[in-house]
Amino acid sequence: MTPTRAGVALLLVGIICLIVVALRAEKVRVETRIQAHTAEIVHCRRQVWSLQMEIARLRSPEKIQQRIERFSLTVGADFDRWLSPDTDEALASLEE
Amino acid sequence: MKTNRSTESNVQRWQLGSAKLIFGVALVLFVGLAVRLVYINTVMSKRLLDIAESQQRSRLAIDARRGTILDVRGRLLAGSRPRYSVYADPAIIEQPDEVARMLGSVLEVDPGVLENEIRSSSTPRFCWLERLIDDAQADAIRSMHIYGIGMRSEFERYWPMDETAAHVLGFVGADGHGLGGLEMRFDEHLSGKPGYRTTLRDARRRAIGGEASRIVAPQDGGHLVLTIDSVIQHIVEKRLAEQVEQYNAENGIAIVMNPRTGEILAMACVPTFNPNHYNDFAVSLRRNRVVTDPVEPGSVFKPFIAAVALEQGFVGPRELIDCHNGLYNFDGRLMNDSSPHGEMNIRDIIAYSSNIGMGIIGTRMGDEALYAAVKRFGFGTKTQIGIAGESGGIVYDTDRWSSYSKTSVPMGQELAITPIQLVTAFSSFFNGGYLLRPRLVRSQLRADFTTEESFVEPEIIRRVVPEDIAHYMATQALPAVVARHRPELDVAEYPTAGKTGTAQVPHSDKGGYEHNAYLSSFIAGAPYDDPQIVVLVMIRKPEYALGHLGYEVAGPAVRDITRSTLQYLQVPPANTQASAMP
Repeated sequence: MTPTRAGVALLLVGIICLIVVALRAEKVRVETRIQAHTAEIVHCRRQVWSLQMEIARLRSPEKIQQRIERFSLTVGADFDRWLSPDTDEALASLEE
Repeated sequence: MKTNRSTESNVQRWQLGSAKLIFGVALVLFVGLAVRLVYINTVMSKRLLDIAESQQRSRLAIDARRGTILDVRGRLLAGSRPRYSVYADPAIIEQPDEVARMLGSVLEVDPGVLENEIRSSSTPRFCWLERLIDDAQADAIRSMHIYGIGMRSEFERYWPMDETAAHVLGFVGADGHGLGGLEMRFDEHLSGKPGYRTTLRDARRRAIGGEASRIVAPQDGGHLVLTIDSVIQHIVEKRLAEQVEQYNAENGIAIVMNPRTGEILAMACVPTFNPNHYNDFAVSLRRNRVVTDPVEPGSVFKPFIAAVALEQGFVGPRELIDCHNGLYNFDGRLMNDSSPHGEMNIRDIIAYSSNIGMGIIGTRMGDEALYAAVKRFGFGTKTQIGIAGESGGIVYDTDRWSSYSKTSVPMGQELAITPIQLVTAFSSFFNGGYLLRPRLVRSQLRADFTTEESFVEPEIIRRVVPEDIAHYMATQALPAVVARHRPELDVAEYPTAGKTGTAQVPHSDKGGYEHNAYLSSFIAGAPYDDPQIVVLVMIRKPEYALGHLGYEVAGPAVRDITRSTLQYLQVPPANTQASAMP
């Protein structure tokens, strides 16, 4: 093997090594980003679950009744009608 | 020359022998090593891998999310919300006092307490500092980057409606398992299966990220859809609490049931408790007395005996029975009625709740027929409603009955029944005569909210009275109680059929009854010509001076609950023709 050929071979090996290292580094970067996104998904799910609980708390009949009283809505004896299956959604939207 | 050759030969032999010996020893050593290698890679492999795993990886459990409990219209009654818990690794915290000071200000905990936790931890590498903190606190701690302090995500069980249906739902202990009510009964279904995450760590226990982390995802728990309607539950709890307070009573219970399906729409106990802070309440307040506490029912029991007596011909529907103007001697037992009456038919005996009339009917029936009638309606047997601690009540065999029993049992004495048994049996008059299994759960859902099991169809235990007798009771006898005797309990737009009861409260530790202590009850179905609900209210030990009779203490609550519930369910009001008394 001539020195020139040996030099070319070494250069090729060196380039291949650099490519492998670069690919490896990119792989780690991508995995890190995947992990970050996964963490974000978990964070969002936690928020959704927390908000579900808060919505459920606000939708409880007792809390709705308290809001009716706070807003001084005149529902009187028909209060239960306000909570009927067709209207409870509408009542909950009063807060918005 | 010969000697030299001989010496040379000896040396060669010695060298050859030495070489053989060395080779042999080396061979033995290599064979030994090979055998050891095979042994390590086969027999010891699993144990060594486990040791390596435990040394190189840390394993952290990932909690499964406990399933939700929904009411019949999908409103959330119980759920799990994510929280963080703070822990410390005492071995790598160099300045516990400084760490405790920093955390104390965020967690609002005395730093001395935190420092003591870190210094006196029973385990060298782990101790909890604070459980279930809120997200703002978690963010603050995370931003401090304190070496040796970590946070673990956990779920906190949360009942967003606080006290609503607390006795039905039950509560969950610190270990995440149900300790009462449906949380306990369906613990396995709700719990799910925890997962875990293993992380490769370096010599200083620092996590090495990337592919070195392995995650086995948890399997979240299934969900429950109840038959309870939280709005009806709220109506019932509110009205019951008002009534208990007004009469300064010891406690009260109420149930609303759909008599056609056995579905419980509401079930309440007052005083109640908040499952979010269950430890702040006495154990006795957390008991669901609707299913656990049998009571001597009193006059609300009379319709059951009357129905069987009618069916078996011990009394005719038009037959007149002499009630002896309110005072009669049954073989040495002097019995009286609250108001004097002469001859009455069975309808009026029930309407005016005549003890004498029922005593005469009981005497005609005899012990065995009476006992069979009681058992037929399910008294003395658990309803299998699915709440832990259910009592089957107390119904003695006839060999333990006295000569008084045949007059006591028909008016609801000498036996004890649970409120759930009472409302289940009473519903049979409004569904054509069937004893149904009471139900609190409509369906079980998987974690992805697909249906695993549905319980929509009514579960018939048995027929307890023929259809014509059930119809007579629902449309003739029981409406008379309200229309003829207690018109103030009628719900004008929803004709009501019911029965009042005022039972003396027996001593718990000795015979006889407590002085001026009563269990006031009213149970009613409405509208009786198209039954939608059966409502029971029982109020125990109202203050005697304020009132104690079933119609005055429990009656108004049943009337108001009936009206509000039927309005909420959008049941069209009956016309006046239909509600007229037969």
